Amino acid sequence: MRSAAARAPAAQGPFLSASGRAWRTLARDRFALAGGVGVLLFVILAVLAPVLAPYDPNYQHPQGLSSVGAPRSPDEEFVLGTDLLGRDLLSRVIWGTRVSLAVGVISTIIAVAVALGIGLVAGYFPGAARTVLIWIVNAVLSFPSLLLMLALVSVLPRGIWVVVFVLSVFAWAYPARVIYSEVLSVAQREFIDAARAIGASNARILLQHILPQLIPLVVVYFTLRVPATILAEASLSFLGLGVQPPTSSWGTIIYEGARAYRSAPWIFFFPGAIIACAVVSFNLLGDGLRDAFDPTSGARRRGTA
Amino acid sequence: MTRRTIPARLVGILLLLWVVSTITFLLMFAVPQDPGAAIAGPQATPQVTENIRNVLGLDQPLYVQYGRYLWRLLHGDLGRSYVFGRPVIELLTSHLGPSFQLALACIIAEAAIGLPVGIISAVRPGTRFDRIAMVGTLITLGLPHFWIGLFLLYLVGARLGWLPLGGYGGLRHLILPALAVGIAYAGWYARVIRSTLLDVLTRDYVRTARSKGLSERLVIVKHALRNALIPVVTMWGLDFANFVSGLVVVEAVFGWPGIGAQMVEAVLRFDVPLAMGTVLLAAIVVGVVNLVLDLIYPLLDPRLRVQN
Repeated sequence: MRSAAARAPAAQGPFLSASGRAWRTLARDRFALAGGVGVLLFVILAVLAPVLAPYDPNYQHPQGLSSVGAPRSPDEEFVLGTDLLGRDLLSRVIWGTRVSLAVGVISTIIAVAVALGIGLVAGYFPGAARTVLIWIVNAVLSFPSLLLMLALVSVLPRGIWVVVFVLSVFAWAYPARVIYSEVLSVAQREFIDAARAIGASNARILLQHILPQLIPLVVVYFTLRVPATILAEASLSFLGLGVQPPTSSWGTIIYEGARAYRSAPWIFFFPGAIIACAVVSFNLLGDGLRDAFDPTSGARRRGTA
Repeated sequence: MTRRTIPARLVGILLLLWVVSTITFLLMFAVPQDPGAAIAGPQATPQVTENIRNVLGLDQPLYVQYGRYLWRLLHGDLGRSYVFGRPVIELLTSHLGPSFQLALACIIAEAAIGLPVGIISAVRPGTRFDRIAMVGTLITLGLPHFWIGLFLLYLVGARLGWLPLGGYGGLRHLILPALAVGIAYAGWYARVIRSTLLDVLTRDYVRTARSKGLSERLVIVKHALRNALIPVVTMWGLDFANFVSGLVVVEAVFGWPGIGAQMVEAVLRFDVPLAMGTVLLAAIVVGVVNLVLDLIYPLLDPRLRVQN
């Protein structure tokens, strides 16, 4: 509580716009900056995977397995060791970054876009549409989602796009509810009445007046949903129902490494550590963005620290 | 939630069950593999397969199958597993026990780890313990729980040899899977109890308790903690409901014979009735636990009783 009050004056320059103030708060937040740098590094890793990976991720090195066929532990030639087929683990983890990050980001974009559409309609138009939409949102939220995800995966052909689809099917409901309640409150503000009074159409009010107000919320929820989606993809792939071999994602590498967790623990260890780094980076950035856009929310997280 | 709203809630749960059952029915109908062939096995003649399809009514149109499915469902008949040849309800109940055990052990573990950390952090905010604990929760919340499970299996099970390497059994078999889930989710409990306790500690009645000379220990345990624990009860209940069917991956890692592991098998072997039954059971558990939570709330928080 105390910290919010103490930080607020520092963040409020006299002539700063709301977004300028948000940027200043963000620039002062060491945790958020660390998260932002982390996210940036992962994006670079994903984009430059062909340049940064030392070897072809699917090449089975003849010297990658010992004479009895065991994978090699980390050494100078293979920095993170090799996997059960003698492939370079570092290269697989780097290429896996591309897949895991792309799946996480794309499914979240789809989910947030759907959430935005439903939240806008349900929040702005009262009546039957609102009742039905909110009932659907609540129903999806109370589904046993992992089990339904498995059921859905089982009837579809295996592949990356199916994973993206399945993840987004179950990820839109929560942001939709958050956006819906925000639209409800924005729609009651005076400038919306003013827009209506000068004869603006519903579409114009929704797109020109309400939508811009939602941008901070959408950015925050997007950043905070990506890590959840990354973890969900890892779970699906770990069960053998997500990204299929020989493509590597962080989850599939853990899945492959789980079979040899006693003799070759490095195979499952490194991708898990990378997942944690990615999730922590996105969460730090998301928390920082939330604090920057809404200075009162920081009090809950940081307490009096 | 008063008693008057219970019938409405029950109708809501039934409606939800109907939606879930219809979705699962449609999904399973879309399975590309022919269930008749799946039951008959690879060596079966076409006549045998056709016969099985006929007996199960799989050659009937979609709406007939859907009608029969709903009719049987209303009579508590979930059908027979294609793969195991036993009634689905029997298979589900035999796996429900282990799943309940594991779910219970997991919610105990997450609270036992998370609550003390969060309470100490809230009582001593800004100290080194608080900072380390909050960074720690940030990291554990980022780790996939199956990864923690594998790590524990490797370290405690294989290297140290203290506990069994998975499988079903007594308390010793429960410890590692419960710890894996507990460590992964304890961070939420630590954070929630920390922030609610910090908030409660600024309230007037806490100041009154302090000013009348109560020891700090008594103020926290008897006055502040009781109110701060209310949101935790909700988290506990929801986690329990989700864990009963949702610990699919942990059950796979530890070879725990629960509902989730059975679901994975059903999905991989196209066992349509078993998969549908599992999803329905999970929806029932979630619905019932939600209802129970709403009923428990007024008992915990007297303010809600007054409102009604």
